[in-house]
Amino acid sequence: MSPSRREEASEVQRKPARSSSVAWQTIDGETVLLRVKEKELIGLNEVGRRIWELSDGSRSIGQIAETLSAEYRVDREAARADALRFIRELQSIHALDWPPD
Amino acid sequence: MGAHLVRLQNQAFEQCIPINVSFEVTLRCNLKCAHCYNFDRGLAYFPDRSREEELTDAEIHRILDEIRAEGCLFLSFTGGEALLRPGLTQFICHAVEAGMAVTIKSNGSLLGKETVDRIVDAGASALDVSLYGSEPGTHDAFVQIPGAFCRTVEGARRAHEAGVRVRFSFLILRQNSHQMEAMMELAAGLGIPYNVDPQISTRHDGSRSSLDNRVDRETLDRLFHGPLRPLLPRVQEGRATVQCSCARSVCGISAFGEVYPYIGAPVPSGNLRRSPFHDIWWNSGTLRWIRDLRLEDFPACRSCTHRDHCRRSSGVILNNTGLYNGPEVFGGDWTCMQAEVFHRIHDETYGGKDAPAVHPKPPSDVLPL
Repeated sequence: MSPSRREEASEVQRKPARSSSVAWQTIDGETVLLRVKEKELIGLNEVGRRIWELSDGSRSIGQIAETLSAEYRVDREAARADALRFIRELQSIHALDWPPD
Repeated sequence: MGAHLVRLQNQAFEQCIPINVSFEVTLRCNLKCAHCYNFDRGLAYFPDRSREEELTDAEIHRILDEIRAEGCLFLSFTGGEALLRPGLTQFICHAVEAGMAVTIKSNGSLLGKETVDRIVDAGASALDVSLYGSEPGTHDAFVQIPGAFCRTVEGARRAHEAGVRVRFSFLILRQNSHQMEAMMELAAGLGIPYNVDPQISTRHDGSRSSLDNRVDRETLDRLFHGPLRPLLPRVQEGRATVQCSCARSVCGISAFGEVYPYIGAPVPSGNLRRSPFHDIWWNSGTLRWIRDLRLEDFPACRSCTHRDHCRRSSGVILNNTGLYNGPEVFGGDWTCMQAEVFHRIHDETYGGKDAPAVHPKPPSDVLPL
């Protein structure tokens, strides 16, 4: 296994949790995140909303990807890649945290 | 990003989603502000009510879940003085964990280091601090507590430095109208933004002496020709309605569990001790009546030539005239005079054209943080 694959395999074990610095609400089926300090509003699509809902600190990224794969009937690898990319993006703006294990 | 927030607020207005909720967690206060809209602070408490009747902690936690489920995103804890409510930290934690952005409306005089640390740790994102003068003499006389000014300014500074988004609320009063410039300079020196509001309402206990603190036409005119000119409200051209966001995207909850269309408009619409928020919000005849109001239902406003310049608050009008859709005739409330003054100054300044966009629209119109 290449170093990058090893890193990714370790990363999917992590359990993302919604940050308290982000407020959010689902209105008429659309979920919006509000980065409170930045006064920035981010709209999520349906899959983004589902990942956001599942990121409650109790599920690993791998488990979230499994759920997406089952619910949206998509290939596991594709679901994992999508979940990982999306969660990394939200983590980079501190909308998701990695709570201590 | 501002456009997204406007779209969100508009969507909430159209679909009647209460994304902005003001929640009165206590009527107790450590100050005795002369204009207080709750009740005459010369009294020990609200007439014919007792502190023991205020919502319990358990009831407040339940209501937080109910308003969240109905769509609340922007939650303000208010009072009285919200910081006097013992369970406030837990309420903030609960609301933030549920995903709401929490603002605390406060007189700022209780913002000691420990309190600031506590509300920051709990996740409160914003503080709205009321200030009534540029120096202790004016402010302390108005709130009738010596030393309040220094504690409020120090508390606001402390919270600001701790990373909370602090905003001053300046109320234009007969007593402080000559200090507006100095108040703005004080805020600028602290790096704290501010809102300026000239509207004062009668009290929810029916007493009217709060109105004695309002400025007259001459003073309003002088202020908006002078230091407040940059804050002249933007023209709302061709307003098809004068209806505000009450009972649509805005809602108030009293310390006794009453649901109001807005915290400043005490129209009983249902009590949360008897019915869940969802049922009151959608089934209250009062709230539905308010939502259905059209321009023609506002007798003085429907043909008013100052309508595009009016900053009408239905809560203030209700308290002052007894009519939510009042006044009955033009001039029936102080608001009418204000609209006339704004209209005239606007036309003198911009020749009848809209003010340039640099003139700020109050941020609370879009994002109540």
